[in-house]
Amino acid sequence: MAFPKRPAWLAIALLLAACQREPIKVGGVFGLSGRHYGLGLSGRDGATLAIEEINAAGGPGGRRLEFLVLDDQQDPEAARRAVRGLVEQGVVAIVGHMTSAMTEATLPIANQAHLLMVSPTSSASKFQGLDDWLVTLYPSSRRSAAVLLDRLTRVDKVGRLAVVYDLSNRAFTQSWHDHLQEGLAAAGGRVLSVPFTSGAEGSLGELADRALATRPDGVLVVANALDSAALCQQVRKRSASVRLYGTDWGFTQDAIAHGGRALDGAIFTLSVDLEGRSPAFVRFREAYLARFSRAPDFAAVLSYEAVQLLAEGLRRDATREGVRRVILGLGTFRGLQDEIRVDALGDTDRPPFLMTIRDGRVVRLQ
Amino acid sequence: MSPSRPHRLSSWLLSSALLVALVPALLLTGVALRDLSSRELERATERSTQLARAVAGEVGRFLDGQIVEFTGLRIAVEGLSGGERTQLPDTLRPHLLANPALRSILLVDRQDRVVVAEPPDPDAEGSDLSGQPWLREARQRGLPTWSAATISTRTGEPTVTLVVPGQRWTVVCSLDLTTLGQVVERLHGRSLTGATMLDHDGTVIADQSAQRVREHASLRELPLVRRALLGQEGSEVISLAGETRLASVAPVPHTGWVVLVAEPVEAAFARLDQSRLILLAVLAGGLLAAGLAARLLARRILTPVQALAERTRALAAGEPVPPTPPGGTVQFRELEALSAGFDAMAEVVRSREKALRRSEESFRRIVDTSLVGVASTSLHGEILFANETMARFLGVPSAAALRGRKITDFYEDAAQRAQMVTDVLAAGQVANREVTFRAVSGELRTCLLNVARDGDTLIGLVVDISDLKRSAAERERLEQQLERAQRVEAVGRLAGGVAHDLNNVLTAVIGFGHLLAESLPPSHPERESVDGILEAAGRATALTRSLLTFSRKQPLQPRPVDLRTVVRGVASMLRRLLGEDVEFTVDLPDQPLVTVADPARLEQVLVNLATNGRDAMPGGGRLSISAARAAFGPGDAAAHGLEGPGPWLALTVSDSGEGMSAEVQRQAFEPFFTTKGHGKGTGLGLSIVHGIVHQHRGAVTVSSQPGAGTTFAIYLPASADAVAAPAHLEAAPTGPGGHETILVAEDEEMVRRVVTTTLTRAGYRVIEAVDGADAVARFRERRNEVDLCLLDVIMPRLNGREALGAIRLLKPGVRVLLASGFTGNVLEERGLDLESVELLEKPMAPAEFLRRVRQALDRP
Repeated sequence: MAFPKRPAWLAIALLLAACQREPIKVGGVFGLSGRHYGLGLSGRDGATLAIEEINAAGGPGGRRLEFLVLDDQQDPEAARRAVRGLVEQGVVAIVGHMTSAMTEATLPIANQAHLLMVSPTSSASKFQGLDDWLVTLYPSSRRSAAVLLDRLTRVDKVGRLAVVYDLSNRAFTQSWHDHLQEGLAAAGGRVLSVPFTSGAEGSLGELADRALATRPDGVLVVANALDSAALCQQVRKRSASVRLYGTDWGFTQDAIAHGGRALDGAIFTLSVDLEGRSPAFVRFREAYLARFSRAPDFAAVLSYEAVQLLAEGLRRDATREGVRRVILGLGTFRGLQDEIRVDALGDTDRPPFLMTIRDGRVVRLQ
Repeated sequence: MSPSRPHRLSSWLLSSALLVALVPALLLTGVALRDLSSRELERATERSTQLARAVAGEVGRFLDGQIVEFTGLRIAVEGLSGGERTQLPDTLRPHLLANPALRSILLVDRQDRVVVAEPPDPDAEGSDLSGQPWLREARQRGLPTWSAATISTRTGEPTVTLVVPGQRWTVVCSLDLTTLGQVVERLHGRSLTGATMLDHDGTVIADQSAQRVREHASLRELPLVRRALLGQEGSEVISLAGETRLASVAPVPHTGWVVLVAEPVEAAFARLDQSRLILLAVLAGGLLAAGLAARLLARRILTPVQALAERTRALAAGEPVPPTPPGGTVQFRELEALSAGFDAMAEVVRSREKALRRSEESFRRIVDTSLVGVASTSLHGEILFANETMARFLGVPSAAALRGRKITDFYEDAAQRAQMVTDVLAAGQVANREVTFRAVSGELRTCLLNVARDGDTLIGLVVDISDLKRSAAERERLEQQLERAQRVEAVGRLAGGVAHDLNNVLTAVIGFGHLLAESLPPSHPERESVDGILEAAGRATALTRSLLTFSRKQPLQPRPVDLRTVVRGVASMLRRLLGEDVEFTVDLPDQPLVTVADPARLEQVLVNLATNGRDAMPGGGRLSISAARAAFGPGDAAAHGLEGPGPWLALTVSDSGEGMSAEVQRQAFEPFFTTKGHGKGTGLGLSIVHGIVHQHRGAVTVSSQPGAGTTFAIYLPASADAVAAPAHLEAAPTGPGGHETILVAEDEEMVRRVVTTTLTRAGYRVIEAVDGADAVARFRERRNEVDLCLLDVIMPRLNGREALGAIRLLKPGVRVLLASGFTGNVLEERGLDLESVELLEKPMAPAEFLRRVRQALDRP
């Protein structure tokens, strides 16, 4: 039996604690429960892996990172409670949130506390171009929407598009809706708005009926993975020909598992190549798989990169003000796959692209 | 090595006893604890492992039960024909009612589409499940398969899916994992606070904390869990949720899941801690008992020792020594012997102490009553001890008040003390060192000091020799005064003798001169010469009178006089005498200053002193005379040459002249001593002053410094008598005559002839005798004729006194006149009793002589 004698390990622990310098506290806020949990779990695990690797290498400036993880429950009030708690605990910066709605709810607190939030996946356009305490790693929804719009108008010739979007993450979904509405109208098309609230709808079949009622050429689902999968199932049950579109938020591995063949042929945007071959990404994917027994999704990748970016700042200045100043002054940052530009307002430049699903597998569209 | 502080016996005994008890007790306890710990650890670990195993087994049985149930269901639905398809929901529904963990059942066809959902779900029916990995895995295996745990999108609870594949139908059941907790509870009959279910990737799927399940907490980072996921059981102390716990893991059969049982170490090792506590309590009890026993023993030994120590302390402090404690407490023979020995020693010490105290008291009395001052000081001068005599010397109220003060504060000259200390340090002592102390009153005291060193202390004996020193100075002064007086006296005697003999000569000269003058008519050419002789003789007479006055052989005519009257009377004459360039002042009090004196002599004193002053101020200056009462202490009076404290009158004459040197002052009163030029002074002026003052039982002092003037002070006894009005006596212009017979006895023939001639010319009959014996013979022959005997006092054979005696034997009532060149008091000194005999002083003018003779004859 592997059982250390108590006084011995206690003494060693105390000795190690005495030798180590005071750790740097870093907060993590993710949606770990409720219907959006998939994104939150990936975010937490990607960040955790990065923290563990950084600590194993000695920590920024020789100081260990202490990662304090809280669940925002995809609820604005719970999110504000969590961020206030982290401010009180003296964290130097926060990794999170994973959804734009939560980021929107807590950004004023971070601004007031001069606490940097590095959000892996918040991408609502409204966060762009502001001198605030938020750094986003994901391209704005405007940019992703533009890529999809190009496909819709130039290749698929979609004139009528039903946009089904979840109001529980409205900061994100509304901006998608608006960009497409605007873009499609400019191209002579039309958007049919089908808003809903995740978990509050009695039957997703009825939602699919509403989306198909106007006989659209395509249906865009802007929702989480479970809702996206279920909606696609209901749409496909009713129409075998209508084109299905989605976002990187909704079209994860979970969605493919739950969506089955219904997702075949669906097209969605993505900014991370999950089949990437860069050595750093390959090494990361293997480590993630070994650590969590599943492959990383885009949220895990972005969370991992968010922590690495934060560590880069902490290595040079481990204060709240200092880490922001360093990161905003970096210019570029080496991500797992590419060099990522970080501008002076904390916005990053990562080109989105289109993916599709063939026989249950995600394939990049050329 | 420096000596360490001694231990307390009681502490030492106690600690020794404790040490003796402690070492084996600690050894025994240590061995027992070690043994106990290892056995308790084994037991707790075993218990924890068994618990984990039991829970895993129970969960496994629960899951197996589900497999059995739904395999049965799968067989049942596969047995239904195509026409019985409508019965499918009815086949499924009882399971939902009977199985509390079951949330939904789906029947999936060969194309992975949901055909039937119970409870009915239109959204689910027709859905494609081909993407679900568990469905693919179950089809590949052909065996019932468990999915990973997920959170139900409908209930929000942790859920697991059981897939039972079949030929036509695949049964997909969703089971609520929260029921697993109830399963375990059922097993143990208590809430399993520390049991956690992990799925095949280490995510929590059942736990006391619903939040941890909802948040998909992962324990995969624990090495214990990672080993369990590979199928290994095990136990370890881990840190979980901030708490240290004893954790055991066991795999759940067929699922890849893991049960983790974690118990707070306090609870897990509660029995060990309890056993340790009991052991330590026994140890503490044993030590306490040992301590108490040691303390009891120590007290038995220490009580008599402490009593002895207390008695020793009392003996040392001089307090009454308490009696030996009653025999009951002393239980050791050695201690009894010690106590007895102490008693004997205490007795000896007491008697020695008493003797010592007596001796010390005796010595202290001697020191305190000694006329010698005794003091001891530190080297720095702090007074450590002093006797009362020392305090008296220094003018301090008591010896105690001296203690602590600095002796250096009393030295008139600090250097004396410093020198004395230096000498004592060098030689060990100093003897008969003369030093001067200043008493608190400021009075200076000359003392003889004997000092010896005793370590850092100086012990001194002090004798006050101030009075002795003063007496010696006084004696020296008196001796000088006596010497001067004797010298003046000797000179006086010489002068007196010369004057006497000269008087006889002058008597003859004046007598014959007068006779000659009377025999010549005024117009006679020789008359001027005779008058010249008589004038010179007169001046010679004045000179002999001065000599006799100095030698106090000039009789005084004293009466009470007011000194002020004397001074005022002579003042106008003195002003003329001093001249215009001398400022003359007189300062007299309002009250009378009466003394018994001869005013004429006092006038002479003032004239002489004023003359002296004038001669000392040839260029002019100031001269002042003052008179006042004076009183002296006994010492001061003697210092001024006076006989008693007074009352005295002081007459002071000061000039602002050239002053006198000490040598001149010493000789000033000697006759013929003069500093004036030849022919300017007789040298008798101050001698006469001296003579007159001493004749009046007074004294004269001089104080002067060269260039600073001279002051003469004359002290005369004050009198309480009234001043008599001055008598106005008028002498007869010519001497009277008579016819009586007068016997004249005079050995100087020239004098005898003058007397005889004078008497004969005045009409008397004269019988001459050449000496005393001759006078007696003549008187015997003619005793009936003789009316008056005129006898010279100093004569050969029989002197005047002896002759008078013989004559009175012959005729007791005979009238007698004695004549002498000496004054009366000289004659008394020579034993001549002049009582009732009138004395004529030679030389004397014939008219005066005849008047005195007539008075003698006319006396009744």
